[in-house]
Amino acid sequence: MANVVVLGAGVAGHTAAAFLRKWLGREHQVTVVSPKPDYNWLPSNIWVGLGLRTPQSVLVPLKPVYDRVGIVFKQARAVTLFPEGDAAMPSPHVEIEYTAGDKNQQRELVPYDFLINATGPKLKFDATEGLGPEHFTNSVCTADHAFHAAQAFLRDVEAMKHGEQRRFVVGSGHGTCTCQGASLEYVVNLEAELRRHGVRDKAQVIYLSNEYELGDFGMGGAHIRKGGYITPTSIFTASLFAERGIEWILQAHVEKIEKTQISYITLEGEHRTLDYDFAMLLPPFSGVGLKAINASGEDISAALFAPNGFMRVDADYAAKPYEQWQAADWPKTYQSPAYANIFAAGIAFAPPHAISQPHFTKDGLPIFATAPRTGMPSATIGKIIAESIRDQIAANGHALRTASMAKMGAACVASTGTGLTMGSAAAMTVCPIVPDYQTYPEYGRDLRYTMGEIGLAGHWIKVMLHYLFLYKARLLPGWTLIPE
Amino acid sequence: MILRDDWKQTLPAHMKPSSYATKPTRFTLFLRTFVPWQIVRFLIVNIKMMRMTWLNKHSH
Ligand SMILES: Cc1cc2nc3c(=O)[nH]c(=O)nc-3n(C[C@H](O)[C@H](O)[C@H](O)COP(=O)(O)OP(=O)(O)OC[C@H]3O[C@@H](n4cnc5c(N)ncnc54)[C@H](O)[C@@H]3O)c2cc1C
Repeated sequence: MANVVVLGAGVAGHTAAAFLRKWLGREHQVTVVSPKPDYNWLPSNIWVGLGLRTPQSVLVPLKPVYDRVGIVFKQARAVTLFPEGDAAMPSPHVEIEYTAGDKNQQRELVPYDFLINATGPKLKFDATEGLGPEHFTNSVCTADHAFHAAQAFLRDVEAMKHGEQRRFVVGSGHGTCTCQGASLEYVVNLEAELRRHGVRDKAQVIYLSNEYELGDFGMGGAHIRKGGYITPTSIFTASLFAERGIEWILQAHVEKIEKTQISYITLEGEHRTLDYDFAMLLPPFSGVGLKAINASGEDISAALFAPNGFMRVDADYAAKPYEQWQAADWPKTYQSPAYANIFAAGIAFAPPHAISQPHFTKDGLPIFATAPRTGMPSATIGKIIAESIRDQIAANGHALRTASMAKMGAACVASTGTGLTMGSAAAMTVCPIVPDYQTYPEYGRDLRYTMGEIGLAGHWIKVMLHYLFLYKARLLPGWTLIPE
Repeated sequence: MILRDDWKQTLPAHMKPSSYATKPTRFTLFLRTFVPWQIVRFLIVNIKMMRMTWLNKHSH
């Protein structure tokens, strides 16, 4: 019997656990450890954050789903890995701490034969003074954050209905943020909502970002074949903002946030301030801070994790200048080089470097978008790790499965307004996610598969994906037919 | 809050970054919500996305 333990129940961990349960015989055990009781379909948090959906509508309680399909669920957070075992338990195990129920705050050792780290990001609000829902700004990174953002937004809408004016600032709360796609989606939806509430003329909407150019999205932008031209996403995004009257400030590192003022520094080193009434600024990400201890009790965290806390896998982490970055630097199997039975999926794996070109102020302060790991690749990685583990348990001699972000494409549908006949969304596909200039010297991407367009169809697709992926997350009949 | 004119006045409208952006024509905007055309686009975009997921499965 094999024991597979999955840390995290986001897109990557939930996908991996679900496929493992489907493929492995009942003599094998699949355990999921996650601190929250629910699976959150994050892309729809955007709608929750504007009061268009309830938090419950984007959450799936995990326990009933896992009980039904035979996955052991422990509502706990992983704390320390013991990949070689220790005196307390000689086999590999992970120490967890329960976050709810009778065992709340109790610790437990969970043995494993294979471990998947899919713990996603730590939301580093503390990287910027005054950032985050506990201070002055809003977030949509969790359903709960999004709910509170909606309340603040709707309060401002009410005030505007009574004649007041408001300035809304949306974007990145730090110079090393990623996930700009989510900020973009939020700002465009927010603008659409202001129009729907009839208060657009009372509002100024500003997109504040660490990106070097609009449409960078942490992947160095992309080129789209459209209307007889090959157009960079910077033009695509600027067009959308210009059409909606959204203003933008780029190349900004937010240094400090006070009740009504954001202080930021630009790439040129200029210190500026921006007054605001409502701000939704995403935090930078790091790994969740797992530790690792070897059999002799030594802390081997640095061997397993990169300094940013994400887990090292089969990538080329040698520091090299931007000009020498290659598609081949990116991991393929997501296996830990230190322990063959440990894998990392989704945001939890350490990228070898950014995708966008790094930029620094003259004092060396980094201001550029770091590498995103969006939903589609996260789920695909979770699935191929599950396949690799299945093969190893079956001892069928199959090589580890691979899925490189320098080969994989990603599809992203960013809502730009809701409504069955008047809604719209920007639908984009990019392939590969990490540009491969050896294979595609001019644009780094295969333009046959890279596209973008805005329209009602995109909105229908976004709504369809919302229902399809929540159905899939519930592991209801036919869930495997829904692609990652 | 009174909308601060400082922001608006720093650059005249024709010099703001947005004045350099491409903007959709009325016809493009019309097509974006013209249901028959959007049904066609819905099918095409879905096919493109499915092609992408197929590629992800088979490109390794
Ligand atoms: C607002 C928003 C909108 C987005 N929209 C899109 C979109 O439209 N399209 C797209 O492709 N991507 C989108 N993304 C990105 C996408 O959500 C992420 O790529 C994806 O969630 C990554 O999956 P993951 O499983 O790696 O991490 P997560 O989904 O963050 O899951 C991590 C899991 O680990 C758990 N965990 C945390 N700490 C521990 C611990 N110590 N022990 C055990 N478990 C732990 C968490 O509770 C969670 O269950 C969006 C992200 C945000 C925030």
